[in-house]
Amino acid sequence: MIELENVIKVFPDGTEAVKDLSLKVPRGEICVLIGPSGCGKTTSMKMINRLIPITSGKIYVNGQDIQTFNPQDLRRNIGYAIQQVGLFPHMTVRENIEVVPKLLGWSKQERLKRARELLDMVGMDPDTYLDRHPSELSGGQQQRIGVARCLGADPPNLLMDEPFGAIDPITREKLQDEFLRIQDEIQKTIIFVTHDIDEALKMGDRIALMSEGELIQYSTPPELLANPANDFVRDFVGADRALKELRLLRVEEVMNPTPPTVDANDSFQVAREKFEREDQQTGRLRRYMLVVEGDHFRGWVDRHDLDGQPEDGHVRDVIIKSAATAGPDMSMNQAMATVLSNAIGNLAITDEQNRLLGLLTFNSIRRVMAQSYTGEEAAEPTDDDTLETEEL
Amino acid sequence: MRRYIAFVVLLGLLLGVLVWVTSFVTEAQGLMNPLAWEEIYDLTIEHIQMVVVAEAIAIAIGVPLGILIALPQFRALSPPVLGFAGVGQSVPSLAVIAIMSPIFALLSLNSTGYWPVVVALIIYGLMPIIRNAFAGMSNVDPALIEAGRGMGMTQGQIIRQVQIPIAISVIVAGIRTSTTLNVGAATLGVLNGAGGLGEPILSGMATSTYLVTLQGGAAAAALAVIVDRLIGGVESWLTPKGLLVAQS
Ligand SMILES: Nc1ncnc2c1ncn2[C@@H]1O[C@H](COP(=O)(O)OP(=O)(O)OP(=O)(O)O)[C@@H](O)[C@H]1O
Ligand SMILES: [Mg+2]
Repeated sequence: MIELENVIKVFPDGTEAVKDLSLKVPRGEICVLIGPSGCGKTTSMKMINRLIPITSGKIYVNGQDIQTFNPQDLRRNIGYAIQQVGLFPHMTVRENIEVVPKLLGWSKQERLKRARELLDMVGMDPDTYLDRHPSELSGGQQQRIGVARCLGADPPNLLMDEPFGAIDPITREKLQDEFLRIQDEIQKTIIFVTHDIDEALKMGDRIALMSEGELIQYSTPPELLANPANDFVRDFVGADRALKELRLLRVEEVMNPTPPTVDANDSFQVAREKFEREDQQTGRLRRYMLVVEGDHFRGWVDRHDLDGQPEDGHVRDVIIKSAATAGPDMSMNQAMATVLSNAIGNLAITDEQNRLLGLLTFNSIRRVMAQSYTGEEAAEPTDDDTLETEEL
Repeated sequence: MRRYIAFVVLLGLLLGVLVWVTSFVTEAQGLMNPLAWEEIYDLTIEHIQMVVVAEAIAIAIGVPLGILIALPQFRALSPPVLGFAGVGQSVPSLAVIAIMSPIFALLSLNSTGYWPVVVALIIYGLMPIIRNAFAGMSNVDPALIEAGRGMGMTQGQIIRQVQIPIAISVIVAGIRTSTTLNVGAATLGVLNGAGGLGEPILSGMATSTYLVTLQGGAAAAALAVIVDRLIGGVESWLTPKGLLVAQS
């Protein structure tokens, strides 16, 4: 747990870098510090491990005033990843990771065990990489080692200054995903500085938006998107904040978990009746319906394909199999891209065994977006499964 | 000033060559009496001793001093220290040696022989050592120092475990320059009666046995080249592997 209480920093030259900052990061959460360049993010962070002395106020780490620690002891117990990665070029990967454990006097065996464990954790093969030097690693690998190094002595609190900066967007996304997966296991209390609002929304349990040394808003990502405190926040988050909100949602939270279906073994007659029943209930014409076989997703059926078929046929004879599916954990922005590129305009949500879990329609996505713009439920009665796609 | 000195030195050299060439014509006899190799060997050892003692002391003073003035808390001292060491080097080595004798006399010390020359060589050799140690230490990426600090290293640990390993090749390069320079400068020690390879050079000229001069000169030159290579080897041996990779 990290807590800042009315922290002020005035540099000797008179620069008021941080003005009365109060912030509480609960145990196990990621607090993202974000704001325009020069707003005091790095300064705030460095006051926590006493790289910069505070002018006034109090900072508590795990409930204890940082001024009561010897600075070296304090820092050895707070993981610190600097923006420039800062791996020591003359040391091997292993020696880099072992820096803090060594300072803390761990035995050689303990240190090696930990280094191997951490390399595994960040997805790099220990046997290949332990004895390499930073200059023999790619930028992405260096950033991974930077993360591994700050976790070296398994400190409960981490300070990370743009740990995934200066790296191509694809690798960056990958590192973010990996880091979130690791955080799920290790549950550290983290202050994470970034310039990138998308990264903030993705990584943060809470986001602290700063401007000119002041904390403007401190809230969860969905709250920041839905209720920006003022125009500054609105501008900072960007006009596409509804799209951003989609990133935060998972398919599971939006899908219809009990969509109407037909069975592959249903006769055409039964299938037509199901279509009609649905039409009556919703007051709209339905074009496609999900086809299952027992629990399993099999494809889609187009109601037009049911017309003029011999009566002894079954739905499986006209099934459209090519449709894409998605898992319940997919983020909504990805799911939307899939929906948009899919001729049927709908997405079947399945588990790994291809069992049907639900249905995601374009309308349900629209509803979510409308909600985030107006801040309330869209008034229009919605029907998840109404299909208004063009003729195939 | 520097240009002027260089000019004078060049003029002196030309003059020497001229004298030497004329001697072929006039004193062909003297050329036939070279020194025995044992004698050259003894003089070389004497020469090495002088340089090694001077360098050892110059390193012992210069490296810590260069490191010290690169630290943030002593950074203000760097201009005067580098300035002083710079003066020591821009005065011709001959002058530094010549000045030492009266200074030793003033201090009521033995003003001839070995020690005034060694002290002169120390002063002459300090500049490259201090300058390189300072440059090597202060050119270490501040991000690395900050990383070390942020992980809880003390200043001493940062100096020993981060800065020195990274700066070591630059530091040793300074020692190499200094030593090579002093192998040459030490030949002037003979003027103050300190012996070394300056002896055959001077006596050869005095007695017009120019082969002896050549022997002394060649031995000093060879020594300089060997020392340069040797310390060059130490330099790459001490450079951490990770930094060698970065350079390749
Ligand atoms: N040592 C210092 N002396 C004086 N002013 C400083 C010092 N360090 C930082 N500042 C000033 O304090 C303010 C905040 O700096 P800080 O480095 O915390 O910004 P930041 O939010 O991290 O910016 P960036 O996103 O560019 O990294 C800036 O105006 C900066 O110029
Ligand atoms: Mg910063």
